[in-house]
Amino acid sequence: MTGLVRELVPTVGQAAIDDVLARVRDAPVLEPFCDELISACDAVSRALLGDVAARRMPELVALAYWLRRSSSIALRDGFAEGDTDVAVLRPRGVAFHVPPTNVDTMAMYSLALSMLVGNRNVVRISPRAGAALERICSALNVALADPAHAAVRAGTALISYGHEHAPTAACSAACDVRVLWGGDATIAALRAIPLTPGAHEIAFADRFSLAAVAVDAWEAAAEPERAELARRLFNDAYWFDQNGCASPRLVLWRGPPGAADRASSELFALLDAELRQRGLELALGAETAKQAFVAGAAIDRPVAAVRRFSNELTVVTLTSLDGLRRDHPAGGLFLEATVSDLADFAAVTTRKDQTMTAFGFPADELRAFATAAAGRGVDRIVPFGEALSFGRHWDGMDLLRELTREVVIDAHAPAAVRLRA
Amino acid sequence: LPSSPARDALLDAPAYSLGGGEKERLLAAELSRLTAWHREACPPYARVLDALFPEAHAAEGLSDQPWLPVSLFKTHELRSVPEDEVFKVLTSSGTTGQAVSRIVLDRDATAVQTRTLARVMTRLLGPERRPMLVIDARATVADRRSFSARAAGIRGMTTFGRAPVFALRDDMTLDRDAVAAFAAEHRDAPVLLFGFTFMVWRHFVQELAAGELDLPGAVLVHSGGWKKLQDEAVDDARFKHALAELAGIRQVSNFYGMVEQIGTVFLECEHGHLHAPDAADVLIRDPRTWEPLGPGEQGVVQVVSALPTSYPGHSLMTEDLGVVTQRDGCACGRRGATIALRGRIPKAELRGCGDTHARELEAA
Repeated sequence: MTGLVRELVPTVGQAAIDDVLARVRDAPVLEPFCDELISACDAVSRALLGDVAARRMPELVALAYWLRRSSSIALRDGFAEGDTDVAVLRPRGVAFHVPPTNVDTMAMYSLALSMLVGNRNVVRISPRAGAALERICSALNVALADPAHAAVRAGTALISYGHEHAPTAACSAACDVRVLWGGDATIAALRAIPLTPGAHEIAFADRFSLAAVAVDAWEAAAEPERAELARRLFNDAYWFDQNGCASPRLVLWRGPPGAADRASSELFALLDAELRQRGLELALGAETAKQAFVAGAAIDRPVAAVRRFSNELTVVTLTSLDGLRRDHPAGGLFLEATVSDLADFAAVTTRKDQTMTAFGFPADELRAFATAAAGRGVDRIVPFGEALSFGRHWDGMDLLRELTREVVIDAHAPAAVRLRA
Repeated sequence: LPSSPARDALLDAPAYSLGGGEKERLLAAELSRLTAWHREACPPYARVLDALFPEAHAAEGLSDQPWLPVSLFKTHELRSVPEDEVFKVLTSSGTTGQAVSRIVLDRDATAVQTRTLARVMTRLLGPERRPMLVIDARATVADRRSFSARAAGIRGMTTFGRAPVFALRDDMTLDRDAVAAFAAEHRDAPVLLFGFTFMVWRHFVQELAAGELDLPGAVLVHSGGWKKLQDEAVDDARFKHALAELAGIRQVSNFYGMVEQIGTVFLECEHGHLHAPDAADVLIRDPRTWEPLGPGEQGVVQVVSALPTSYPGHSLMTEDLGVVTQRDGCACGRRGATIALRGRIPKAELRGCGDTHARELEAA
């Protein structure tokens, strides 16, 4: 297997993929959440917060907070509950990450979770990666240059290459767990490249996400609270151009139709004002894609009305959720529908549905919904503003558990066995 | 569609004779009538109007007319004639794997399209049919059932020439003997050359040695756009210069049109300007407010045409950027608007976690 790649972390320059893999494979195995690991993540956090260019990007500020020592310790405490007197959680070995090209921060979240449980890591970075990723690499290189993080440095590689088959094949053959982000087509393409028989794979398929509003709670909310909800919806939807797997694309109004219509007018007027105040402008191509989508939807979906506020906001009102199609152009288009009960959505939810950002529902109503959805759809129900908050649970999986092996220990052999021996 | 005074005036006017407020009035009246006609004849179109243009029935001026996004024809079949009256279905060119537009024509629409094209071509080429050299291969048009944009374009143009000779072999290499024989036979005579812009550059211009051909009486008509040539920094000026140097061709006319809107044929005049034909016009819209812009202001190109009767394509928002350079003012004497194109609206590269690595793999 030959193949040259560009190494970005821990050193910058051309490297042979086999050399990179040999270095990572031979690096020391670290104890999950050991001091060096937590300290290394904290050093990345500090490097990001000390970087003027990084501080200008809100997604990097959120990442930096997520990497702080206190966050890692909270993760460790939750993880430690898995270590019992009959089981210990150990790293799987070498992890190969293929993060999404267009969400730079995902590379670091994926790496950090895997790193913290003691895996050694190779991360494939697209040559088209953006400015945020440059800041992340720079922060990692600062953090890993510290001799106190020498073992993490030895077991970490971020490498950049294009469409070449060889590096992906080499990494896939060398890893114990492969982490595939980036949707259905990426997964289909990369699954054709074999892993070793014992290796594990975590794959994140294309998803669809929604927001749900209890209309009675909206009516009871005062003006400042409504404005805050609109701001949070803005963050949830527009941070990744409404194109993240958790970005809401459908708004469900739970309540009587007339009141729901009023609430919709009010919320989207506030969202429109928020967009104008921030001066967000998406690429013109996003608007032309939405116009074509909306015209097509008018033909073959149950569309009652279309409200176009600006190039950044179009609202398409559906008369029914029956046969709800999840294809969507992103870039500021909201489908909306009114239901009398969340159970109406539970009836149509599918495996594709990931995150529901919810406002105003009693906890037992959400629990009843999750139960009625019966595991077919919706993996997360979170408050407005938290759609993109990454954590150990994602797509219905506990990632810390997926990235480790559980070694069970039964020290008490049955008496009969002892007798025969 | 029954005729109307406005329709007759638009379709029967001598080439490029309409302009000013008269043209706008005639077109606006006919477009309103077409909107009502298609609403009745094409239920999917009616649904789009109801959802997106609830005020459409009140449209009076040219800029009030509802429009469809041109790419809608890639995802939906829109037809305003009964299925058994479909005479042919045109498809847009598109690279493999891309969705193509499907445009439904009946006999009437086909006849009107042919007549309109003839009128603008005659103005450029004169009434005599010229000997013709097609810068393409015979194989491209060999399959009579193929209605690809390239085959349809070549077939359409051959009606304006005679005794067509194909300059390329079926493997797309230049047939030097055929080309030399054509040039020798018609040394100083008026001839017609036609090809797609990219094909003309790649398989004709780049293959010719300096002075290899001399066709001073030729008019070269080309179409298809500059997109594929951008990487090689080939623009209109370089294209024309090379054709003059290598083949002695002095009259080169670009041709902007789209399969989705038969009749909107913008043909380049002797002064280098692309002219809207009589039965069609162009509006430039602000890409944020979508309000119409004035001459000289760049925006999104909307094309309107009285011709499409078999499908609701009389008012389309393209994905092209452009500018109206003048109205009724070209030194060539043609009336109506002239336009300059400024490239396509790039596909948005949205952030997000969907399928980006796969797209890189496909692009490889």
